Amino acid sequence: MVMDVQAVESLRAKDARAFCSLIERLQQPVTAYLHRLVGNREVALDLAQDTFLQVYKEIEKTSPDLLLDAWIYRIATNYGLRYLNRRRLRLFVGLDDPSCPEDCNHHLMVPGPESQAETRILVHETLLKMKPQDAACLHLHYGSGFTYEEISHVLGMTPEAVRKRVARSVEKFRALYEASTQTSKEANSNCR
Amino acid sequence: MPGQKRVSEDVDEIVHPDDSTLLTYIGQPFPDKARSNVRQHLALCEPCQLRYGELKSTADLLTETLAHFENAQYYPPLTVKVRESIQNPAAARLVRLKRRKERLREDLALYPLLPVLFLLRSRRLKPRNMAMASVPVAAIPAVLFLVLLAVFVVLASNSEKLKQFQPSDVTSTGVAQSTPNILPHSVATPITPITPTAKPVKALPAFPETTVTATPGPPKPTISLCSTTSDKTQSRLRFCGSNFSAGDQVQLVVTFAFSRTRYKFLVPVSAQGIFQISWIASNCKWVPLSIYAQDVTPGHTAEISQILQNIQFLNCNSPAPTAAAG
Repeated sequence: MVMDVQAVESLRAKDARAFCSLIERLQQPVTAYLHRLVGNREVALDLAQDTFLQVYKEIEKTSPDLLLDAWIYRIATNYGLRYLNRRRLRLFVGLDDPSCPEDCNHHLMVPGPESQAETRILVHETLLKMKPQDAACLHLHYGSGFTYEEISHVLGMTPEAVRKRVARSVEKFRALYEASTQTSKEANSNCR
Repeated sequence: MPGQKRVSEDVDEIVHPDDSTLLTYIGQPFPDKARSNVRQHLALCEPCQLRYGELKSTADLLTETLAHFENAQYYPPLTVKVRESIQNPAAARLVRLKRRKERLREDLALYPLLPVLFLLRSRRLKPRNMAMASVPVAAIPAVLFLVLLAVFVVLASNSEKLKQFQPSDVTSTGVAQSTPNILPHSVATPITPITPTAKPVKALPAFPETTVTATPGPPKPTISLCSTTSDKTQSRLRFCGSNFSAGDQVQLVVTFAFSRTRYKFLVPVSAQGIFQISWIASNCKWVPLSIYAQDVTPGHTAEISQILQNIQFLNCNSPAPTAAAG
């Protein structure tokens, strides 16, 4: 994650071309990150759009030595976590029907339902079961390829805290994933 | 090097690398000295080797799966939408206000009800008799009052309070390029609703040349289970679609009994208007509860096949679909 002072300056000057090239560069990874985090493609697209609008609106208030990508991912993460918290609340109250046909927020695009489909589906389901903050850490590190240092800028933590959190999240993921595979095996033995 | 202190069996106190150190060693920039220390330790410590193996396989699994997910996704460009929102702030403001209004309405409905629901939930966790015995009679009017209050607040906010936030005349803002309205993505690209009333089709022809339809006009898109004998020996489920537009992109929407998630798989349609998709049903849970195909090519009409249900494959019978399955 490099500090691009010139790009930040152009954006702060509301240069339309700079803003378009920023969107072109970051739209795919930011939307994919949000998609993995919230588990719904349409919501992810909405949140990505909101993220870039927020970037345009707030870039003036930032300092020139801004770490641009980390800042954008931070906005995206905040939007994603806020959405997940609201969704959790709605599910708790019963306003959201988890089984609703089109609006339910668990749509996943899992490509290639061949040999590895089962594993991939289980991985995504396990990540959706985790605490959003922990899942965000794993998505940023293993999905977006961010280093601990970079994640610390995104999540507003120290690199050491990120290191510990990633380790904790991996352990939680492992436990949940193993439980899922165990259930899968039991279902198998019951079926056949 | 940070580490956990554990006492080994031979009573020597050894500092083992903890999980975070091992994970850093696996995939992070690490000073050379620390790296060689961990390497030396791993060569000697068998439990640490095992732990390292576990963490490495988990990290690899996550990296592979998440990278594959990202590479396989395509999202429509946001540039135009964002630019429209910037160039026409009035329309964008309307959208934001609409969303804010929805959120406010939700909050007003949610938060007064939360204590009541929390109370009810916590009661539900107790044994039935105890819960009934401990519900104070005085709580009933309080609950009713809170519900009425919530309804009142929601109605009031709908009718008056929020109207004042809306601009009275959007076109009078003097915006040069006036876009009628910017809709959020979910609204702008609606998915045609699928009615669950479609009757299940047990066996349909796999390819269009075998389809004989008496009805006039173009034949409707269909989907059918078309596993061959060799497929069945490999426990491979194969679905064939036909009568789609050649060269289009079709999205297969699959529901499994074990999950409320509706999985979507993108498949290309051949020049003959057909497609095939298959996967190994390693156990019965991978036999779908329901499946249908939908044309998702941008700019094309959303052709949708019938919903295939009651799928029988080898010894597995997919259970009768419920409302949860959609």
